[in-house]
Amino acid sequence: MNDMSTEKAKNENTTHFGFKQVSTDEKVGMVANVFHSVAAKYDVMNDVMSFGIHRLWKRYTIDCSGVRAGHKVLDLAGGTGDLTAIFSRMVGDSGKVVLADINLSMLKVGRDKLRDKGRVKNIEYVQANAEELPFPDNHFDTVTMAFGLRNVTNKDKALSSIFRVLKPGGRLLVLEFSKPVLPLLDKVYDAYSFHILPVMGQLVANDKESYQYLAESIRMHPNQETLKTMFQSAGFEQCSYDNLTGGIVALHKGYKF
Amino acid sequence: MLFRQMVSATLENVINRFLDTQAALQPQLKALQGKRLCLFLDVLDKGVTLIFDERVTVVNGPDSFEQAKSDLESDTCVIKTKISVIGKLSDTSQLTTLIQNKALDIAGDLSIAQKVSDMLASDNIDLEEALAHHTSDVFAHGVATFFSSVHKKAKSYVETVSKQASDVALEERPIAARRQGVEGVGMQIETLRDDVERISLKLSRYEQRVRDTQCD
Repeated sequence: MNDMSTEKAKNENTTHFGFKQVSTDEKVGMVANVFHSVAAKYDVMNDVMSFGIHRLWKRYTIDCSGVRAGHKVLDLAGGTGDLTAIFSRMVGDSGKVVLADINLSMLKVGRDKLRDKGRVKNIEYVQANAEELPFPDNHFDTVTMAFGLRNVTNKDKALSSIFRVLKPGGRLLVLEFSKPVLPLLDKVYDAYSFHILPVMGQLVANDKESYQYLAESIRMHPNQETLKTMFQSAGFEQCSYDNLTGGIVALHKGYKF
Repeated sequence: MLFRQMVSATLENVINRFLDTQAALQPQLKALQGKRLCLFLDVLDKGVTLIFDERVTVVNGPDSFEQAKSDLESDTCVIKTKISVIGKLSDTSQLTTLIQNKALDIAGDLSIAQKVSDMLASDNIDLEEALAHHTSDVFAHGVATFFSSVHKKAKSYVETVSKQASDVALEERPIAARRQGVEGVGMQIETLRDDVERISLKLSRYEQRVRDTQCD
């Protein structure tokens, strides 16, 4: 009995970091180190790894966002600001975009990139943990999270936090790697992820481990249906997802009413 | 599924690269900053929205013209038209006719459509300059001169063919009436109308005389 309760307590305080089991406190620091390490080469690596398709996945997210002039948008785990750059044009001078990321290095790269593009008027930068968002209730019209959720330690807590800050009628869009649904694609994708991706990481960013973690974290991320259920558990309604590129990536959508 | 995104990304890239080479268009682009143009074409199942800023952002959506109209915001113009009609939009004198023929439907801020139309029809567009950014100046000048010459020749050829077609229709196979013929028929109708009026007056006079005789 004593052993079982000890085991349960151990499971409650541990989580996965790629394929490794680590303590929840440890994961935060380890994920932070990964992104401190890749921040400078993040955009280049995204283009190289996805053959540029990540831009189309992000465009699809923008097309589904329903963002209009005057809206308040939270680009969570916004990293180098790809979505923020376009949202800031869509909301215009009367709207606002908050680029939030837990990782300061990524946030700095994003801020510098957007400033270089001349995007300064309607963007705010906030270093924030998705699990405890430092914003008022019912504040944003749209929240997006592109390739960020799988790195969050407690995903349910993050979804609840996002639900809180969304306005009634607002929508959450989560773009994330998922499970391929086309036959044979999963085998090709596995081979690519575990054999080619880390080598590319080594060659381009001189960082094999971070890209090994990327491949592992994708496999550990909930599949399409599981994530949809998590959305519903957090209170989101009319939840759905679209598989992109054969399910390599999925865009999950949910509304707060 | 990502085809539309690929098209909008390509379109955005082409528009902005072109605008980057057109310094003379910058004041017109500046006048459009903060404005949106939603375009619904018969060849697309959904709308495309152009958001004007220091550059142009192309976004897919809204889903339908009716939805765009119902969600209409200030600084937005929504246009529904056919791809075959786009060329005629720069001629503002034709807009009413196009709307009457249901070839064009516009909602929202019309000045946005007007400004975009003016920009497209602008004499400031310098294709040679745009091309020179991707090739050498000499090559760009050569290509521009070549296309200008081809354009002139094509225009002249079209005019000649039109003239010949007109001659055939009027002279060799008279399926259409010549102007003189039409004018002749017009004059005959005029004469006939005058005759009818004259007879009508005479009749009125006779009627009056008959009435006067009866009274006496």
